[in-house]
Amino acid sequence: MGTIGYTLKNLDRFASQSIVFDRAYVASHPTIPNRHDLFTGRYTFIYSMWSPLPENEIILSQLLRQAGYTTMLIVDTPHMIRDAHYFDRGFDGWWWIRGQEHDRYVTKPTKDSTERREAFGTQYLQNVSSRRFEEDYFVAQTMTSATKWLELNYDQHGKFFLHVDAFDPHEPWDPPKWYADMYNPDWKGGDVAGGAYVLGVDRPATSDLAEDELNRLRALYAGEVTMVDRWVGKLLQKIEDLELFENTATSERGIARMKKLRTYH
Amino acid sequence: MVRMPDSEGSLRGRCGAIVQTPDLMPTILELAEAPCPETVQGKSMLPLIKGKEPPESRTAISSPSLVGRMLPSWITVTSEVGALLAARIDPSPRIESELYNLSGDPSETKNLYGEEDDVAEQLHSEMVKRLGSMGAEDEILSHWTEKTKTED
Repeated sequence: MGTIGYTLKNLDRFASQSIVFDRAYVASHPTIPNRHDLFTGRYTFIYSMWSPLPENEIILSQLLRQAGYTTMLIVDTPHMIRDAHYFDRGFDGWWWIRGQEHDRYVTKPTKDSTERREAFGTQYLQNVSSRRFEEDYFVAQTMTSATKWLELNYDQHGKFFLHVDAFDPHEPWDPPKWYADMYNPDWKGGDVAGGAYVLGVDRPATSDLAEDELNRLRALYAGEVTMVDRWVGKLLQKIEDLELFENTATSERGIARMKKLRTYH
Repeated sequence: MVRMPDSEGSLRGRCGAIVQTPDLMPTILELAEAPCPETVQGKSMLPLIKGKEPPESRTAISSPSLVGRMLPSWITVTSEVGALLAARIDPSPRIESELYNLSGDPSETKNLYGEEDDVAEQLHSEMVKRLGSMGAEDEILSHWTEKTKTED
């Protein structure tokens, strides 16, 4: 990962302790079809649309629960839960960190500019309006929740399965300024559209963006990835401190790609 | 990335075998010593992780849903040496078929579609075979068995 120019010290360290699959490919995509594959072990694009997790399909969490595992889901990807999508099925417990992307969460209006609304979406800006510290960002909340679950459940179960699903570094790309500044310290412009899916606003094509605007989006993405690395690192540190690596398999999977036609994750 | 328990010995390194998302569930079930149901189409990565199995030649197949019309239709098939993005002109004329030589051009900069017809056809027939073995219905299969239409 370091080879693409980001400073991912925690994931690089984890990689050095792991078997790294250099040619791991997604099957069904995007968001929900991918989770459908993950939960069922099937190539679901053959027969399924983006839809709630079917009640009659055999899923991983259910089998592990039957095999005596305590199963836990910690998720901030709202698509898996909202509108009865039911990806919490089979888990003994599940925590939903609210507010990511278009999650219908905060209703109090904000005073954000039109430019900023078109770059990030009104619902999202409402959802993040009470942010003050880095620990309030979504990946931070989600990884912190996972460390808290590990603390609460330390030495409580013979065996457990903890599934952590973080939406970041998916759009919206809005890391704290210090992370963007690692990659693009001289930026003086405002918000660039193209770093989020905004309902009712057409995403600009890559060819419609100036080179410095594209570089801004790349820096925001790189900054977001770096923030993810920092907070995943805190979870990995907790796993190490609780001496769980001795008898626990841990895995990380992510997808990242800058496509030619549009900027997206 | 999979970090195995330290009790399994120090298993680390890199693996160049082609694997996909559906392979994760059977891997976790095998690790958990839980039975794997017949519905699972993926294959456990554990033999690869433990280095007990040389990587067999596999192809990866990736796609948005082939049913309904929520998204444009395209399928990507990736082998050890090449990648083909097979696209249907309908409903998305924006997307055209692409072919890349992954051995010589891993960053996929030079589109060889229309130049290397043999390779494209081989990957395309592999794709159709995979769709069939995964249980695609005839209607979907016939949709993709015609040669891709973008060049028409």
